[in-house]
Amino acid sequence: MKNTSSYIDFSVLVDIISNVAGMMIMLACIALVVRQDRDGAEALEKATKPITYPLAYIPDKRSVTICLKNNQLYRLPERAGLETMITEASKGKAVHFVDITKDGVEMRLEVTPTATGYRFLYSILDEGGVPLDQSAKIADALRLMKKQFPPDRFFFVIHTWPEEVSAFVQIREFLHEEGVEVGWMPRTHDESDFDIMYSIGEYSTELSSIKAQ
Amino acid sequence: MADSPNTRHWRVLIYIVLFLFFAGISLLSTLYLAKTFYPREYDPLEMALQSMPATPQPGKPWWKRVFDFDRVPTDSRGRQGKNDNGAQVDRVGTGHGAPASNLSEEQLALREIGEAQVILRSQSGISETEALRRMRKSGIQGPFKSFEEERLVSRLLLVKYLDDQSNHQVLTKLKESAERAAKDPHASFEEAYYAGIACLLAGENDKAFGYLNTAIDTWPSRGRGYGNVFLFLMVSHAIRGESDTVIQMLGELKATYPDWLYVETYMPDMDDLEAVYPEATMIPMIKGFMYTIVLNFGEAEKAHHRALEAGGLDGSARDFIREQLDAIRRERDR
Repeated sequence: MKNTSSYIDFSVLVDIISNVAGMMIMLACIALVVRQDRDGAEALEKATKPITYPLAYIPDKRSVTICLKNNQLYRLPERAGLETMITEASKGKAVHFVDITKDGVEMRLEVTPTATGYRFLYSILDEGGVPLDQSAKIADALRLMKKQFPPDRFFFVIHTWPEEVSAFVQIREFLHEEGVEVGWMPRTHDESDFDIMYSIGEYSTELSSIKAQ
Repeated sequence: MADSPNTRHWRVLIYIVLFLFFAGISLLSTLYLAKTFYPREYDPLEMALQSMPATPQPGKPWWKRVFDFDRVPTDSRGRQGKNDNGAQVDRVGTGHGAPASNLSEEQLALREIGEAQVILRSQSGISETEALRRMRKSGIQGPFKSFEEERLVSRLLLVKYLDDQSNHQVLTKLKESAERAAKDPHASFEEAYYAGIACLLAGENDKAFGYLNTAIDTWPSRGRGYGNVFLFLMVSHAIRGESDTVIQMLGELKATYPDWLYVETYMPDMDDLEAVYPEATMIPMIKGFMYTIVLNFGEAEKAHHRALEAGGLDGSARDFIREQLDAIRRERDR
């Protein structure tokens, strides 16, 4: 009597599935190539010319401000100020202003009189920024900013005090190599209470030109 | 030689593992293909408005905090007063509502949260759903609450539209939201302005005209903001074919619109409106005038000739354009 024992030959199943998987992988690769082509074409369309002369044109991007003073690089703590305002206002009562200090910058965030926006007022302190003679830290800080503020949507504006002009030139060159557009504002030592001032959503007779914001 | 039962057992196991592995790859590849060619249509603002969770959401999960590139190093001295953003909070000024506004304490607090969120959103700091959620998380209540939320939604949609001005779906939603905000009893000059702009861009000039007139009548002060309202109201008059009014407003343009020098900033807006209202031949006339006052005579002549060739202008407008072209010729001959 024959000893008949039957079993399922899973190798056939694996053959079928591996063929299907192979075809799917090929189609996924094609989709990836198509997607990259589309993104590349879009990126090319959105490419803008680099700034070669200051104030030559105003890019269709938002600006990010950094300051070079006291042999240090300072970031403005705009986000920290806004988050602090949200935290305080969430307690249920109106907040006229918040004063914070972060990374060597004192910031006052004030509500505008019409309650339609904010005034941003910054004072640069003597310490707390990234020392300009520590080039590795400077490069890391700038790369982090570039990641947070992508060059396709933001350009950097560097407020430069007289002693830091040579550092500004190097930093601008570095940012250009990273694909970031750079504008700048030469600054002088004056007696004003705040080093940087601007408003968003303020409607005032004093703010009569684009440079006021 | 036949396999032993043990070998057969292992072979079956291997085949099952291979089967699952390749089936998994097939499934993932299918999902990737579907996501690439049929991306999900997702409007976070609408979904956020339809249903919000009753309880506050938890903070960032631990694995996100570990890889948070914005993390501030711990201060080893354990200084008091530092908030979650690593900032030392020195002072918080509270008191009565903002001087020029008639908002209650609670409404102003909600407004402050909304305005801060809009700025953060424009800096890519947060998503739209997170912005609305944070506003609701504050728990501030009052008859103004639905207005402030609608106001926030319309501002967020505006930021979204400015990021991608080819997205007409967003423009439609922006218009609807801006109109709802503008019609609310708590609305102010700003809501009228944004509703006017949204209607203008969406091709509804008659509605835009009403809103922009309300905005300019209630605007608190002269300056850049007022100038923008003036500019778009002038364009609205041009679309209605009111040449005498347009010519008069062009005469007041330099005094009223502080940004008249920065042609690159506002001419794209004129181009957009010309595309929405191709029959409004006074828009090229406005562009021609604007190029003239910045001494770009080449572009000015092109715009004026385009207006004349398109036709549809009345006598006043044609005379105005001819005067402009004569003035350009005289300048060139000097």
